Amino acid sequence: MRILIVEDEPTLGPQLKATLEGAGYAVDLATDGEDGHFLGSTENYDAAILDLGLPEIDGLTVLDRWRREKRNFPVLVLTARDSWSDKVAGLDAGADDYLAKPFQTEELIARLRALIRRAAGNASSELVAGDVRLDTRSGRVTLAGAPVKLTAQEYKLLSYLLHHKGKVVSRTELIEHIYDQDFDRDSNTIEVFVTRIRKKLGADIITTIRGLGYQLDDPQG
Amino acid sequence: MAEADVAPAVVADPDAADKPAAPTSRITGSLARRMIAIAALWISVLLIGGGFALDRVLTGAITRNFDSSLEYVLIAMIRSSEIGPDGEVRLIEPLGDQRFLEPYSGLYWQISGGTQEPYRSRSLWERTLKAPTPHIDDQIHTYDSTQFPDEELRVLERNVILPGSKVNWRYQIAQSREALDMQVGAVRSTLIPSLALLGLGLIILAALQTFYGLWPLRHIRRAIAAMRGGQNRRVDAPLPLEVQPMVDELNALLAHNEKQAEEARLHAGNLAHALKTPLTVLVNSATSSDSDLAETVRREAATMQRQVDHHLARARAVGRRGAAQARAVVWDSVGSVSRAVAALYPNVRLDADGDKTLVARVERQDLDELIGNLLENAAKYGGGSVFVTVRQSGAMAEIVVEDDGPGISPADRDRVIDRGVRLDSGKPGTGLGLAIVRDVAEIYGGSVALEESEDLGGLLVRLRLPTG
Repeated sequence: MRILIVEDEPTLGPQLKATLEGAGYAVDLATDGEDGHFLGSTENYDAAILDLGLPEIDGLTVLDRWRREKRNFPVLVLTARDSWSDKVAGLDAGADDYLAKPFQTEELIARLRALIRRAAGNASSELVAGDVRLDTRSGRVTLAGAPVKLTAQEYKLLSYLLHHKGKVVSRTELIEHIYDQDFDRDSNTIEVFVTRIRKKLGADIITTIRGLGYQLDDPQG
Repeated sequence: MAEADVAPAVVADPDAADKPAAPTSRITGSLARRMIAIAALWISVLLIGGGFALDRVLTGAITRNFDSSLEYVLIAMIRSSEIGPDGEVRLIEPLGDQRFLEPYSGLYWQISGGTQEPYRSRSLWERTLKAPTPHIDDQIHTYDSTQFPDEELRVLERNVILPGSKVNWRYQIAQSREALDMQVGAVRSTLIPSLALLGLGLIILAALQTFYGLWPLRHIRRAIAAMRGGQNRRVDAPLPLEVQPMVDELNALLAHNEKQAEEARLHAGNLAHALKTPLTVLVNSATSSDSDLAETVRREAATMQRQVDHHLARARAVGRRGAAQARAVVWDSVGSVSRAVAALYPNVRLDADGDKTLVARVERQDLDELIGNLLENAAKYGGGSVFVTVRQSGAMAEIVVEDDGPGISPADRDRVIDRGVRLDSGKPGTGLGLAIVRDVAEIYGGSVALEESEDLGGLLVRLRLPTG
C-alpha cells in the first residue's frame, strides 16, 4: 500500500510519515502543493493525506486538479478549519474523508484504513420491487419516487428480502443476517419489523408464508 | 494556515484611545461651518447682484441729470443763433455760463459747418471739437469722447439747418466728465460699504442662527461625554423633533451594545468556568502523580477543546448576526451537508425530503453548522439511519432530523441540551453539538426541541428558524 502525504508543517509531516511507515505503508512526503500535485498526478497511490493550508498551491486546488485529471485515489483532508462549510467545500472538491486538527494518529490510521477498504469495492446497484426502489450504495429507499424513512434494521431486512426477491426466507435466516453476533435474537422482533415495513411501504409488499417465513415479490397484476 | 488573525489595533498615543477621533474629512468636519459657508455664499451672491443693479440705476439717473443740463444749454444755443451777413453763424446773446469764457474750464461749445473755421467757445482755446460721425437726422446724440488726452468729455451734438442758410450746422456742447464721475464715485463710495456692512451683518446673523439651531447637538455631545464619563447611561433630556429620532436610535444602539457586552461577559465567564474544571483535574492529577496522567491529559484536553469549539462557533454566529439580510436556502444546505456527513460516516444511511425552496433568515455558514451538527449527532449516536425533513411551519422553517438510535428519555432532554450538565456526562461529544445548535439558533431567533421519532424510533430534533 502506497500513501502520499502532502503536509508543509515541518514536524507533523515527518511524524506522520514515520507513523504510517510503522503501520506498514510505503509513504511519500511532499511539503508544498506544487510538489504534492506533481507526485499525485504521476505516481500511483492507494490513498493521499492532504493538508489544506499549503504553500504554492492550496490543498483544495491540488485536490480539484487531481480530480480533473481523473486521479481517483481516496483523499483524506487534514485541516485546522473545521466548520461544516469548510468540510462541505473539501468534500465537494472530491475529498473522501475529513479530519480536523488537532487529531490523534490512531484515528488518522483507522480512517485511512477504512478509506482504502471502501475504495476497493464499491459497486452500486438498485433493487426494485413494484414502486419500491433500494439503492445499495447510498442506502436510499424510495416508494413511488418519495424517500421513505427506515431504521437500520428495517433497511437490512428489506434489503435482504429484495436480494432474494421471489424466494421464501425463513425467520432464522433473517435473524442470522440482520443481527450482530451478540444481539438478543428474539424472533418476535422480526414480526415487528415486517409490520413496520408494511406500514411504510404498503401492506402487500411482504407476504407471510405461514410456517415457512416471508416472501417479497413484484406485485401481481 | 489561513486562520483569520485579528491584527491588534495600533494605538500610537496611549491616551488617544480614550479621545474621540479628530474629524478626518473637511466636509464632515463641522455642520456649523458648512451652514455658515452656505449662508455666506448666498448672501454674497445676492448682495453683489443687488449692488450691481442699484449701481446701474443710480449712475443712470446721475448721467441723465448731467446730460439734460447740457441739453438745455444746447437748445438755448440753437435758439439764440442766427445767420450773419457772410452766411456765418453767430450767437445773438452770449451763453450765460462764465465757464464758456475761461480757457480749459471743462465746459465747451462749438458750431461747425460749411467751409468756415468752426465757431467755438473761448474755453476751447486753440482746440477744436471733432465731429467723428455724420448724422442724417436732427436728434441730439450723446457720447463720451477721449479726443482731449487729459480730459474725458461728455459730448451732446445735433445737426441744425438755420433759416436763411442751406448749411447743415453741427452744434456741439461738451463738458468734462470729471464732475459726473465724482458724483458717481460719491454714490458708489456710500453704496459699496453699506452693502458690505449689510452682508457682514447677515452672515453674523446666519452664524448666530446656526449656532442656536445646532445647540441641541452640542447638548447631545455633552450628554454623550457625560455617558463616557460614567455619570449617565442614556441621553434623556427632551430634544427637538428633528433630533429626537436620532437620539432614540442612539439610545437603542446603546442598549443593544450593553446587551451584547453583557452577553460577551457572560460567555467569557462561562468559557472561563468551563475551562476551570478540566484545569483543576489536570493540576490535581499532576500533583498527585496520577499513574494514568497521559490519559487524563488527553481526556481533559478534549473537554477543553470542545468548550473552545463551542464558544468559537457561537462567537462566529454572533459576529455574523449583524447581517440582517442574511438568507439561505435550507435544502441546499441540507444537500451539501448530507453529502459531507455521508462521506464521513459511510455506514450511515442518510436521506432527506421536503420543501426544496424554503429560505431561512440565517447566514449559510451558520445553517451549515446547525445542520452539520444535527446530522453528525444523528450519524454518531443513531442506529445507522438518518432522515431529514424540511418544511414550512407558520413563519418558521422547520428542519427535522430523525434517527433510529436509542433516543433520549424525556427526563434527560433538557439536560442534554444544556452544555453545563452535558460536560460532566463524560461521554465525549454527547449533546455538545446540540448546545451549539441551540445557541446559534437562538441568536437567529430560532429554537431547538428534542422529541421522539415516530417513524424511526430514535431521537427527533426539531430545529426552527425564521423564514422570509
